[in-house]
Formats: sequence, C-alpha cells, structure tokens
Amino acid sequence: MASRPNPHIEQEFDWLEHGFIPVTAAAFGVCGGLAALFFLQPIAGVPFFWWTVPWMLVLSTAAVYISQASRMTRGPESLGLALLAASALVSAWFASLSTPLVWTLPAMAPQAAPYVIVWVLSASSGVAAANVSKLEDFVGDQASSTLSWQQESAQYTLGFFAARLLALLLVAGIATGLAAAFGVSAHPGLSWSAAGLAFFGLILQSASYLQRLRIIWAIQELDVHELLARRWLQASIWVSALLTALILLLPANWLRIPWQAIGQWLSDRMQPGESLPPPAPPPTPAPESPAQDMLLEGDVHWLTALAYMLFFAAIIAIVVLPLLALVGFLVAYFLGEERAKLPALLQLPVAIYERLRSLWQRVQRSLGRAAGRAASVRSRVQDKPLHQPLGIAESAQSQELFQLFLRLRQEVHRQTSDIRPGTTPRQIGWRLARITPGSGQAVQVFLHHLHQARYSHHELTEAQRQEAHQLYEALMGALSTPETRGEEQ
Amino acid sequence: MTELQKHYQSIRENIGSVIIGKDRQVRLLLAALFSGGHVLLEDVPGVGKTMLARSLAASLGCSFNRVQCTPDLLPSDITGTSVYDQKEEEFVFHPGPVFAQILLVDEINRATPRTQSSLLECMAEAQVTVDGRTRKLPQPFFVMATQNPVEYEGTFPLPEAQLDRFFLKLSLGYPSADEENTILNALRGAHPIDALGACTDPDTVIQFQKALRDIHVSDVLRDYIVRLTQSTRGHSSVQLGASPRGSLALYRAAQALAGLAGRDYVEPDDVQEAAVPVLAHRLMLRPEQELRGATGQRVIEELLQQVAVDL
Repeated sequence: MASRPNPHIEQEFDWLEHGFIPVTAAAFGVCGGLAALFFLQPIAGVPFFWWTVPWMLVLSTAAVYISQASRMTRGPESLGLALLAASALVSAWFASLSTPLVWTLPAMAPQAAPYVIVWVLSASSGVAAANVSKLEDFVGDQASSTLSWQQESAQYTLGFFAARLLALLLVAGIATGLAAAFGVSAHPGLSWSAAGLAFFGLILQSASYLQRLRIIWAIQELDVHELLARRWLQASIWVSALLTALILLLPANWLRIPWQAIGQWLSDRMQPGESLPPPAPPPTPAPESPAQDMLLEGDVHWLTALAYMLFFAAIIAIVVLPLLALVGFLVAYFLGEERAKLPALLQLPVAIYERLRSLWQRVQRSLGRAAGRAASVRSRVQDKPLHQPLGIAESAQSQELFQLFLRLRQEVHRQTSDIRPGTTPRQIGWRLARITPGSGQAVQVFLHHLHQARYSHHELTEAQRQEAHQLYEALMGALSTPETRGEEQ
Repeated sequence: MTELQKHYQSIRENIGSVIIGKDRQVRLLLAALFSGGHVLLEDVPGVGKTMLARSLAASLGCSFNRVQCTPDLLPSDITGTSVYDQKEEEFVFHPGPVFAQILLVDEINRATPRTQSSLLECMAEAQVTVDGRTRKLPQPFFVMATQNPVEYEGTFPLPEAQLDRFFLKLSLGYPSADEENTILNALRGAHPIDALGACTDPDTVIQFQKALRDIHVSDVLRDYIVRLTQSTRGHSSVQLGASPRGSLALYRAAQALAGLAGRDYVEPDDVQEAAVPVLAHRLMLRPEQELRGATGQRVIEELLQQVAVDL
C-alpha cells in the first residue's frame, strides 16, 4: 500500500476524531429527536406539519454531506447515515397516516407516494455518494486499491441495501404484531422499532467504520482505528439510548403543558389561604370541529417558534458549515495545503470547531482548578495552617514573608490576570517589575529575602526582615497608584 | 559554592570559545556532570554535539573516548575483551573505549539493543563486568550519547529502561544567524578546540559532585518535586509517567543548578528549569496523543503551569 498522499494526516485525524464524529452524532441526535417527535405527534394529538417533508429532506441530505466531509469515513458510512435518515422519513410517513393503520401498501399508495419518493431520493443519494467515493478511491489511489477492494466496496453497498430492506420489514412486522396482539394503535410499536432500527444502523456503521479504518491503516499498526470505532459506538449507543428513553418516558400528552394547574399551584404558594377559583373547564369542541386534535393556541406558538429556530440553526450548523468544511477538506487534501493557508471562509468551520473545543477545554480546566482549590482549601482549613503542605514545618519568619508575598501576588494577579498555580515567585517578580516601572531593584531584594526565608536554611537578620517589610509597603504602594492601574487598563 | 561558581564560569567560557551561543545547554550539561548523571543529546547532524563533548573533556582535563555506533557493533567493542597472550600464557584484558572519564556514544540508536544494554551497567554503576570480573570505571564517569531524531531507517529506538538511565535529554538546536556568523568567523583558521586547555581537573569535579549533595532543598520544594513527578503519572496524554528515579534526578539537577548559580539552596526556578530536560524523555505517551502532536516536553510544560509551586 502506498503512503498516504496527505502530509497533514495528523491534523485530519484530529478533525476526524473531534470534529466529524461529534457533529455526526449531533446530527443523529437531531434526526432521532425529530423522528421521536413525529412518532409522538399523533399520540399527543398534534397534526402532521407539511414542512416536516423538507425538514427530513434537509436532514437526510445533510447526513450525506457530513459523511462526505471526511474522506476516510465516506462510503459505507454514507449508506448508514442515509439509512438512519430514511428510517426517520419512513417513520414520519407512518406517523402521518391516519389511524387505524392499514398495512396494505397498494391501498395506501396515493397517500404514501410523496414520502416514498423522498425516501428513495435520499437513499439513492447516499448510495450514489458512496459509489462515487469508492470510484475516487479506486482511480485516485491506484497503488493502494485492488480489485478485491472494489469488490469489497460493492459488497458493503449491497449489504447495506439489504440491511435497509430488512430493517423496513422489521418495522412493519413489529408494528403489525403489536397492533394485532394488544389491539392498540401501532404508533408505540413504530416508536420502538424505529429506535431499534436507528440502533441497528449505528451498530452497522460502527462495524463498517472499523473495517474501513482497518483497511486504510492496516500497515500502520496504529491503535487509532480501535479508539475511533469505540467512540463511534459509544456515541451511537448514547444517542439510541436517549431516543429510546425519550420515547418510553414521555407521556402521551407531553406536549400539553398544564398551564392552569401550574398557575393554580403558584397562586396557592404566593397567597396562602386565598386560592383562585377552580379553572373553568376547557370548552368542549364540537364533534366535527376541524381543531379537534390541535394544540392549544399558546402551545402552538411556542412550538412553532422553537421549530423554526431549530430549523434555521440546523440549516447553518448541519448543512452550510459541513459543506464549507467539505470544500476546505478537499482543497487541503488534494492540494496538500495546510488548513491555515486556505481562504478564511473555508477555515470558518474548523475555526468554530477549534473555538468550541478550546472553550470546552477552558471550562474543563477551570472546573479542575476549582475542584483542586476547593480540596486544597478544605484540607488546609481542616488539618493544617494556611499555605503549609502536609508534614512540612515552616518557620515563623518564612510564613511571615510568604504572607506578604501572597498579598503582592494577589495584587499582581488582579492587575495582570497572568498568574497560574505553577508561576514561581521570581516569575511573579518579573511581572511586578514590569507593571511598576523603576521598582526592579526593590523587587529583586524582596525576592532575595523571600527565597532565603522560605527556601534556604539561613535565618533572616532583623535588618533584612525590616527591609523586606519596607519593600513590601513600597511595592504595594506602587501597585496601587493610579498610573499603574491606568497602564494596566 | 563560590568556588564551584568560579570553576563553572571558566569552564563555560572555555566551552563557549568552541560552542557558540549554547549557554543554557552547557549549564544543563554541567549540572548533569556534577550530579553524576549522563546525557542524551538528540539533534540533527552538524550542530556541534561531538564538539561539545570534546570541548567538555578538554576543559575538565578528563580522558575522552568516542564510540561510533553501528548495527554490527558488539558489546565487547565497548566494554573491552580478554585476549590470550601467548608470551605470558594467560588472558589479558584489553579495555574498551568505555574506560574513559568522558565517553561519547555517537548515534546510540544505531547500535543493537544488546549493545545498548551493555551500557546499562556502565551508566548505572560505573563499572564493567567482563568474563565474570567486575572492573571499576575511572571517575568521574560521564556518558554523552547522541541520536538523530529524523532518521529511523536502520535504527533501534532506545528502550524505556535505557532512556530512564539518562539524567537529562538535551537538544542543541540550530544556531541563530548571528551565532552562525560568529562560528564561521571563529573557524576561519585553526579549530579553537585544538588550543583548548583544561581549566579544572577530574579531582575537583569529584569534589564538586560530593559538595552539591549538600545543597539545601526545602521541604516545600521537595514536596513540589514529588507532586510534579506524580502529576506525570495521572496526565491524560501519558501512558507511563516518570519513575522515582526521575524525581531523584530532578532533585539532583535542581541542586546542581542552584550550585552553578552560586547558591547553597534550591529555588523553585531551578526545579522548573530542570523539569523538561530531566522528565520529558522519561514519559511514555499514549499513541493517539502522539499522533495529535503531544510530546513529553509539552506535557511537562503544561504540568509546570498547573502544579502549584507553593502550597
């Protein structure tokens, strides 16, 4: 197998692990969540919205785009994503049908035709994308490709196609069985089976992912593929588990928020003894009213607003950014350019991803530091005097000078925000000298006395101790002058 | 301690006439020497690794030998071997190049693991066992090994046990433009190393090695060294952290740096200066983190920011 053409492969690994997988997992979450919403709509009495068709089309197309965003994971993964998106589509189709369900497709054909067309288109786009990517692999990487590799790709394609068909049969079978056995609406059965279908698709994806990476990196003897596949699997299990939990735990009428009961409860708390009169029963609609299954007006407003917000956010996050990332990736990959040298627009997704990642790392670090400080303070308060590690005895002189130094340090930190736990007294002294011009000599002498008191086995003389106090006063005075503050601001 | 500082200044100036602009590396090298440790120099060819070893040997008045490692180098080529003397009718031991006070092991990763491991006893215990008989090596005994970080074909990477035996790992790095100009100017005529004289002697070096052990390390800083070393064991990028040998080396290196600065006590900055050269090469990183560009140096630098100096 020839060496990889891209010299920046480590960067791509990074993007793959921290960019592609979380984004795809998020897309799974959105698809799954919407699918769950559509399953629950008939139960909650919400009518099917027609705009869910473009929604699903966007999501299924986006899933393919996202899959294409990484050269190393396209192919079988595209099919897997299309499978998931298609399952959501088909589920929406089932959910939109009026009860009772009739499992004779010819009878339902006129009603189901638009959904079938959409599903076929989305699935075909996944298959086409996968095949194109395989062809590119074969043509562009002749040295690493063989006929068996092409055959393997074909097997994958056929395998996933068969898996999709089997999964659909599974959906139909479970739903029909449940409906027949319990005499209930088939929607809960559909919810169950869709969750199982999503899970099945994700497991297949994990397996194919592992296989794909093993093929690519077989000669590299890296453990990375195992790690990535494991993470992929973890993400898929979490998404599926959340989806299943959502379907199982939410009550049938979860979209109907009991505003009146909440208002009553609040008024009871605010004005004890005076309760509002019991709410009037909601007007009973006429039996033939077209609004029979509609939400209350207030509920529809917030739900619609939320849906539109989600829609636009998803368009940007799932379609536009991955498209830009894909173009940037292709340019970087085929031209062998570093991402940093690409046009700014193409760097945008990676920049956003880097920003989010650095924010997350900062949050992690802050939490870690806070926990460490809390533990440190607790142990000091409980067991030992201030700033004294376990089992370490310190002289009074050392403690005294160190307390002075800590105050200086606190003030320097307040003005520079540039002191970390590992910053040494001498480094703090440099910062202090920098923000208080002309105090270099004083800082040096103070540090000398501090070091001698704290780190050496020499005792300070009384004259040195007094000098340290005077220098401390002078330095604190310099730190608190308006000029110093002004400079820092 | 002022005596040590005086000698240090003269050695530094002596070496500085041959190796231009590498004060920090020379200071760390001398810290390793005075601590009784050994140094691994990892750098590209042509930056002065061999010249540094030769100028150090010349400045200290120590005997100097060089071993050029190749895959067919045998352990006996380093330690020496017994040869039958027909005239005396007995086996006579012919000492190998390891019997020198300063030994330069050039391109150590080109030698086979068997040959590399023959250096273990020499470096750890300053003695050689050949034909069942143990022979002491001359004192001070200081090994400087070099390896090229960019060539991996036909090399045998040093095992962790061997890496841990190196007190410090240093890199000289390319000189700046000004320094390179100075080098070209200095090497117009005869090479300055030919005129390099000794400015101290091996006995003085041994005295300093003993004296440095008495440099005071406060309890606070001892605790800091321990916490710093322990933090390498829990770092997310690290598969295998620094060993207790690592914390001891950090302790000794901080003492030596304090001594070279003319102090009889260690400051936190001494510990921090020594941390990367002493600890970074002792870490075994997780493969996936290495792929992302993590290095031992970066891990230690990160920990130096995070681990509190003074609690």
